[in-house]
Amino acid sequence: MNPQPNRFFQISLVFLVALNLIPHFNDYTVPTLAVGGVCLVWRLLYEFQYVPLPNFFTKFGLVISLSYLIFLNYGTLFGLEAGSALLICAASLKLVDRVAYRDAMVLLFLNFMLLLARFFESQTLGITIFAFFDLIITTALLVQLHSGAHFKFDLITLLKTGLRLSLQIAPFMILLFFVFPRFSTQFIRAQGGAAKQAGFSDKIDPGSVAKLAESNVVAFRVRFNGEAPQMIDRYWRGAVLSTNNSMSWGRGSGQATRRLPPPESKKGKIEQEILLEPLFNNWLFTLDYPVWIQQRNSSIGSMTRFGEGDIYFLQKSYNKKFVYDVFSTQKSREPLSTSLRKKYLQTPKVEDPRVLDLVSQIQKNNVDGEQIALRLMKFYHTQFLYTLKPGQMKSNELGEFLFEKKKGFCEHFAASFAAVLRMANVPSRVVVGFHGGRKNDLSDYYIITSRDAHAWTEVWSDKKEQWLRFDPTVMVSPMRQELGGDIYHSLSEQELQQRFASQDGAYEIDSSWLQKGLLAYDALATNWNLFLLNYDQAGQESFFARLGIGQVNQNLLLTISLLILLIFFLWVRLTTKSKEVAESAVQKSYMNLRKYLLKKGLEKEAFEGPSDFLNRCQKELPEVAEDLESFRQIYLESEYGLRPPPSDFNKIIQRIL
Amino acid sequence: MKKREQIYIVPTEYGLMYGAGILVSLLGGAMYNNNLAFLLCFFLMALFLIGMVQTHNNIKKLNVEKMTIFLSPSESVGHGVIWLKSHNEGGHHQLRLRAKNGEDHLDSNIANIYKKSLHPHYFDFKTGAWGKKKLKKIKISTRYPFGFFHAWRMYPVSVEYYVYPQPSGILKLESGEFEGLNKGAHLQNNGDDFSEHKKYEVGDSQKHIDWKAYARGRPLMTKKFNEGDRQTFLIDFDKTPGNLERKARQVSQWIHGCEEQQNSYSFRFGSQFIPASQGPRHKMTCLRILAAMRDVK
Repeated sequence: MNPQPNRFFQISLVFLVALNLIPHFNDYTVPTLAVGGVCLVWRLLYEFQYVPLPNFFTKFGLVISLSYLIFLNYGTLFGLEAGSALLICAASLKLVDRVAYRDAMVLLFLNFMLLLARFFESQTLGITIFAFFDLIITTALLVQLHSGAHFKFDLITLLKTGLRLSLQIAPFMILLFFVFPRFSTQFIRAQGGAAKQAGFSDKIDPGSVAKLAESNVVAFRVRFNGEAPQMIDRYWRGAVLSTNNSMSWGRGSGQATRRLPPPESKKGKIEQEILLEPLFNNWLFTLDYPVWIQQRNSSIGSMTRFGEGDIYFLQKSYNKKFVYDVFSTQKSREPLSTSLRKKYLQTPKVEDPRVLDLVSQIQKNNVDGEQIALRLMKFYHTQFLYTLKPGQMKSNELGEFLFEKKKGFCEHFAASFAAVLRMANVPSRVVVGFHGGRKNDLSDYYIITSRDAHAWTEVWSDKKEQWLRFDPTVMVSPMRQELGGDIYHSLSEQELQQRFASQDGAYEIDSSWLQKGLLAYDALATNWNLFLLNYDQAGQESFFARLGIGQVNQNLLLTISLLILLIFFLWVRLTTKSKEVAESAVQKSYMNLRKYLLKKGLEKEAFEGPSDFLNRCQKELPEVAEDLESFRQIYLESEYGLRPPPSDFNKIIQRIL
Repeated sequence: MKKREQIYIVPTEYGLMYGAGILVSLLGGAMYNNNLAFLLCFFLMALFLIGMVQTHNNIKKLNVEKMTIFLSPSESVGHGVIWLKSHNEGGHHQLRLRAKNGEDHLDSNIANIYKKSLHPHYFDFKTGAWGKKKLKKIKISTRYPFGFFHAWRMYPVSVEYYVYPQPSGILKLESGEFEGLNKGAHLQNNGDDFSEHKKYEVGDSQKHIDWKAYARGRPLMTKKFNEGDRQTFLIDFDKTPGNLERKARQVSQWIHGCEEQQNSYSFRFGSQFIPASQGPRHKMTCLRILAAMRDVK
């Protein structure tokens, strides 16, 4: 007879499942909302409005239909994403099922699995905190389920039970976490699925954009090992655009992929540790100019590619956060071959006399590319306006932007700048990436958000034989470069004007309590994320090295883990309340008496109480019957009554013995 | 003297499912280099071990002090009481008491036994054929607190109990069937005369207690009545027609009939003779003799 869950338990369980579906909403919107939401509403209608639950055939139909839909969507019923969607559907459908003991156990088990599926999607601090409370509630409900139908529901007691168990487990978990060997799982490595959303584009067409949507989604976080470069030098390159069509730029096809540059001496290099967010992770952003990068995760390392324009990217999307290290120098080392020169000079024929006139002006005296670029920069100085709402251009032609529209954002300026330079026979290209970043002083790292997204140009100097960065946006809005995109876009027009007029030192970031709190949380979350992502086989080795233990064998770690498991088991056995209650003096005497009586051939039967047993003994041993009767009375009074035994009761035992 | 407690423990089907979950989270952690999956795995593992120890402890240091099974009708529901003594500081929760003796089947849940206490648990059980029976062992099991493990312990009890035949039969109490005074008199006779007081004993009919005397401060007494014209019957098993089963059921029916009508009856089976009387104790004596005619091993 298994305990049957009462109604209160059933409702608690329904809410727990609903709670566990919430974190999946972002990644599995359809199963969570369409299946989970509908089933939850149905269940609540059943609980409070007595709407009947679906019958077997309806549920069977739902299972088949949902499995088919998942198969259609993912092309399989296996794998991480299809498996997670199936789990969400299974847990949701259980909501519209009756909750007997078996169902309750399955639902609680599904909760653990939903949590596991969530961990595969993200390992943020938020999810960790959520999991902590979720596990406490799930454990508490597990205990309640086995406490019987008559168990009086007391949330505080239950949570206390859950918390007590969790705290009991915590030291074991932490110890095992550090010690359990992290294996290199090349042979069973799982690949992430395709990225669900592109967070960064490798082509620009600013003329077609009427208004740039502002969002401050975090793209990546950077921690510098050493001094961080100044704001004006904090350019992180993503993609290099080489194909030009008036105001539009793209990567073009057939870009050569090169061998990854080998590591060099770290001396003189700017070292960065970058924690990249999933939305932006097809491109591996690197501070200008990268020399080489180092992947910490071997599976991501095998997907890393190096391409034309000193760019790094992943062969396949990897839709999870990960960490990599970048080593940069202040000067570009990329050479320019004859074939590439031709490529970087490609431009469509422009017949607009205004543009041709501009080109001839900057080309005067046949000077170096750098000089020509500097002349063009002046052109942008006074005549242009920086705005995120430039409105759509009529023809998307270079002349229209340079001489009529004259307003736009970084993409407009970079696109037109590089196009004019190409017409002036200067090899140039557009680089898209990020510029700026807001420092989190609490943990000494920079947060780069989508508001820092930026486009600039690179110009080849024959004299210096290197690519030089030119950012025409600086000429239009110097504040954009001085403050960085995130802060710049968070300020109003008035604040920007005030700031521009004052010309004092660095701009102080908002120091409201909310802002401080958010930065503190971000610092905590980032460190937690970095810790979790970095604690792999290499992380474990360096952890033990820091402890002074040196090289530790994986087999040894596995043995230690098993030993920890054994010690934990013994510790639980010792500490769990199973100690025998200390016997009273009368009880001890009774046990001695039983030993004596056993020698006389009188053994207490299991069905006999002490009273019946001693009565039987009186008949068998009439010579001590009187003393046995006295002891029986004392025993009953002392053990089952409230009267303490007389001080001389031992004499009675001695007489019998 | 002190026998080692033999407690058996195995994972339940849910424990196995949970174990598979631990394995999945471990593999997931390794495959995806996912440290939170590892943490979850270790949490589940620890909970599994705690569950094993607590399930084991829940049945540990629990003794059967005494067990009694009351006289019960066959093919019906019987009752009994078991006295369990906890020597455990943690107490015991959600125990399941089970026993099977032929067709008799006991399955009862014990909610809680508090620490260091003596706990009487009254139970019902399904009875089968009638007879004198002996329950040799009982099983006490538990799945508390997580349901991952099933722990049980067998207790030798050697409890003798009697299951009397289910009352049935269509034979009437004809005068030829009985011996004794006032043969053939009416069964419905309530005109007894008071004769004397008798000290109350457990099992005496409560309707004869002299409450007035008790209210005046006298001990609890029952009123005895003159036989007067009250009927007294002899139920003679050997003279009852039919095979053993039919005879037993018929006699059981007569005993219950006499009790319902508050008539005195004597009972004879072979050389055993129970003098005429009436009341619960007398009924139990007669039914026990009736049940003991068949010794069910």
